[in-house]
Amino acid sequence: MLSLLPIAAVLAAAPGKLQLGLIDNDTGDPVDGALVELVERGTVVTSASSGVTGSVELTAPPGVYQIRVTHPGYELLVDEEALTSGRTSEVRVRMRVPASATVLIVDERLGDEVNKTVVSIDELKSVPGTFGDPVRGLQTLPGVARPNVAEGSLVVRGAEGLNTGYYVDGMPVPYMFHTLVGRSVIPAGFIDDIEFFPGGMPSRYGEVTQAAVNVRTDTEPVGRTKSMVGLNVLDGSLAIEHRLSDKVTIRAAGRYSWMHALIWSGSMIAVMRAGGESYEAGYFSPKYADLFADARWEASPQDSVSLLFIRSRDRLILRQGRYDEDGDGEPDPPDWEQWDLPYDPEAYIDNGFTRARLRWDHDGEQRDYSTWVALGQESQTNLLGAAFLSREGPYRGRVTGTSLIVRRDEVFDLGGQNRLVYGGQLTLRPVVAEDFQGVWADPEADIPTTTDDQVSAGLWIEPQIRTERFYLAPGVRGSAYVWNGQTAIQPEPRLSMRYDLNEDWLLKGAIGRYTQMPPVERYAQGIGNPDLPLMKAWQASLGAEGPLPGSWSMDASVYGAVMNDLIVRNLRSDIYQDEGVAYSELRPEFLSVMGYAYGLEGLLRMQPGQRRYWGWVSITLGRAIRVDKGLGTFSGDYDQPLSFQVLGAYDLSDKWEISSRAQFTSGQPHTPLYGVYVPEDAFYTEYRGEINSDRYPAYFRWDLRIQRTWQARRVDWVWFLDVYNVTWRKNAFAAAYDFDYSELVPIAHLPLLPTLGIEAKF
Amino acid sequence: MRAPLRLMVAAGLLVSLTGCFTELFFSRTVYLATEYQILHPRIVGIAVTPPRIEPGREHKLEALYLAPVGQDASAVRVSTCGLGRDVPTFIFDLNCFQDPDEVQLLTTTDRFTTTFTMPETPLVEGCGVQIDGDLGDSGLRIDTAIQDGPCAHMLPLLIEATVDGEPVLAASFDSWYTGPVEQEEPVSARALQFALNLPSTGAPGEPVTVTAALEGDQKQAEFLWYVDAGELEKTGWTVPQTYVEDEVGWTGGRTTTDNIWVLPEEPGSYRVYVVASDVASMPDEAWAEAANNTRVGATVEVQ
Repeated sequence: MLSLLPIAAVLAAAPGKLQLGLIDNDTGDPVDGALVELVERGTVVTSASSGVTGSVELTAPPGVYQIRVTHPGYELLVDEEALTSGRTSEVRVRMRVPASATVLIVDERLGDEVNKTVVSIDELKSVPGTFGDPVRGLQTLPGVARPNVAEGSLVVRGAEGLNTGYYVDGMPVPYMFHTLVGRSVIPAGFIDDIEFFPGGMPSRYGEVTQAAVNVRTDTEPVGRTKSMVGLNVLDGSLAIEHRLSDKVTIRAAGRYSWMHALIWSGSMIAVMRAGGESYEAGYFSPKYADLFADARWEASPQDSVSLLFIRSRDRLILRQGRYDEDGDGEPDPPDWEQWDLPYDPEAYIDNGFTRARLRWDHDGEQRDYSTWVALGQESQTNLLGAAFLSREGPYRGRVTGTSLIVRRDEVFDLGGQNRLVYGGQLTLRPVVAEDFQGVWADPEADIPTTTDDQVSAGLWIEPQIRTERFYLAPGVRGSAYVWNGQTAIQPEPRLSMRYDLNEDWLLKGAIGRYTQMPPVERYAQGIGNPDLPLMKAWQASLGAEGPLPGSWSMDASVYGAVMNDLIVRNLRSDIYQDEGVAYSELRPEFLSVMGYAYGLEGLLRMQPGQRRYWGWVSITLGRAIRVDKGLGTFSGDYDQPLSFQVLGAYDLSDKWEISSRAQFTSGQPHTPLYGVYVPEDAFYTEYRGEINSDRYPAYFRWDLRIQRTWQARRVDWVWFLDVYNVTWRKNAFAAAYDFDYSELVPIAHLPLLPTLGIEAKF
Repeated sequence: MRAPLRLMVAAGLLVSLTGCFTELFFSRTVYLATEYQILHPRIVGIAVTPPRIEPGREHKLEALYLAPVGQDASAVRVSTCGLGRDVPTFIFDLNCFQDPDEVQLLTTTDRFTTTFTMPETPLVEGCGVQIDGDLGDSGLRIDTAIQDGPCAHMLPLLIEATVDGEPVLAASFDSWYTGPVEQEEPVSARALQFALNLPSTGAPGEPVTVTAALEGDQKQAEFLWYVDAGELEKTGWTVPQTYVEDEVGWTGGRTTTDNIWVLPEEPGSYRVYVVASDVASMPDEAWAEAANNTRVGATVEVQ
């Protein structure tokens, strides 16, 4: 909380002097008007206020004093300092905006989007079970389904995972989360806040039919030079931001996972203790790395130019042990090295992307605009496919592409509180999809390859009209798509509105149409369905929000959606021929189905205020239904009729905070298997039931987190222990049937998982 | 390492990584030994006679359906899938039954003894027909010859019965020849003598010895036992115990296995069934190419 940094001490005659320099922790600007008091045994010995330079000088007899710094815009600071006779202590103090100002979740009531929720980072990082990752904390919000442990997606309001779009400062990125551990690709230290649209996105959001997550890194100014180092058992990160001059700032951050190295080391030790060689050790682990950098130049008071670069790599590695079978003392190379495979066979998931963006922002008196162009390469490889972990990505294949995005946003001030928002975006994306299924079985087989040039374009216009109590935003977006020999031009009318019932309570609603092009891994020949059409959805929501007695507030909505040509995965039997013999295999097929979703979501919040505790209760009651001509009516993969979460945090002291989260959700639908007895061999084989006609047991998890913050010398420290699944409940993410398929037996779950981490900011 | 094995290793390592797993490996032995009471509807035996399925032939299908008294099946449907290709087709699962285009209905009936005729299918030649094996002293089969002939598909046969609105299923994976086979045909296990020896009455809780005798030297056969109630001291799964070559009335001798049935405490009429599988078809020890269980049953009055 308080940083007291002795810089120098000068010998002088009694009494002692204290020179304080007060600066804003985030911007580095001097803090004017703070009252500084020296207190001894409850009595104020002397006091003074800071000036425009943020400096204060106090003189007092030698002794140990309590220093109390108060300012209406900052947290109360209290610490001790000893004054020595004849010496001057120079101390620099970082002032922080109080917790009540960094509101936990701020509905931007005066903003232009009715359904937007802006989530503050400090509190989201405190959500237990997220290992300190704020983006992952979004899973605690209402309307967000609990994903399977390995699936890096947010499934919102009964849609599918692919119907949520991810953005960094408004720029679309192919994925946001790393496999298995669920880390987001943007280093937490640079995330200012997260815009989360569970639905009802305004016209400027397109090419996605349900939800949008926009991680913002550019809403807070870069003050002075800051560095952040984070270390935990999963990974390490380093972030640096620096103001080169009044007009130029730069930031850079990187993260590298070392969990695989820890696991591999453990495996080596185990192998060597068993008498083996170190190279015989294998491991199975995520392995990821992220790089983020940007530079901003304030070319004029109205204009700024920025260059943003993001690079991410995400792999799931199965490293097999090597063996010395020929006895030459060296490990033999694995068989696959001679096969000249087009992929790394030890990387079962291998995703990556690069984005570079040049952006020009103009902040005019009547017209603001932003223009940017982004270019980047992306790749997704999934050798596991639907088999074990993930429904995401290609099925035993790889898709690669290069995206070129050009975008222009404008906001025109119409006078009063009214404005006109309009713009356009063009995306060109040549893509290649490779089907590795043949190579998977036969290394010399041909690789079916699909190439396509995807083009998408959008134009939008949205007047935003405000009166004293009413806000209305009737917008329309025109979207055009070209892909896989198909062309589609779609109108997307949208309407957002809000009505202030009184000073506290308001009603809000939105309705709109959204479209989305199928991803190439879903329509590529071999690994997908070439006949998939454009996904289309109508969404509507109606809700109210306002304060409750005490520090509580409520935000509740009902929502509904009709989704046409929604892409869902089914497994079907495929009888294929290989060298003159036909075999059968269960393979995924991607269907275009009708989807319905409806529900009630509510968030009951306790504002941080001046209390030591805060938290929220999130509840969602909803259904996600799918209808297909062949399969009939069935539950969506993430149909979770009940989702209930309670989150609470308590400041034990100025340095210690403890937080806890409990989550209860309905079991995830799955396709049951029935046992069919084979008398000749006296065993049971499986017979697949109706798609998603059964559910896993209900899910319950309790997470705890305790963290300590303190300052030492020039460094702000955060130490945390995050304990996932405190009760060690066996929430299965993989299950198998017993011998006669009469009972589903959980076989794998995440156990109690403590994560220890430390962060330093200086 | 080949791909499927790699995937299995991956799954295993994943499970290890995630720490906790239970009952990953299920015990067939325990199930067969303990689940012998007739508590719910089951089809526990299938026999196709003749046990070599060829196009145009009529086959007798006998399924042994066991259920508590009063739970009768209302419909029985017999089908296969994957038949009709002009290349050998090997299907070892039942997923193809979900594709209507692949399913061929063989018969529907309300009985568990019925007949079906293999549909006409393209003749596939040149695979060779694997004929008589030599068991030798070790009991292991040694292939002795492969002769030219029509190819056989390996396809599932699915029996679906409906009992009180619920499906009861059983399957076999059989050779379906695409043309007539000249080699000697194996003998149906149903043609072998199979007898039970036990008292017709007993006292409540009385242990009675039940002996099953199957024609021929059946050293590799398995015997699965089913009773309405009571306990089987040697469990529901026994193996051959004796073989007597020269036995009056038994061509080629007989193989026996026995069990001790502790009769239920409640008076009444109770059934016992024994199903034999892996039966060597006499007289030339040809191996069955289709489902070839045989069974025998009896009733004991507990007084």
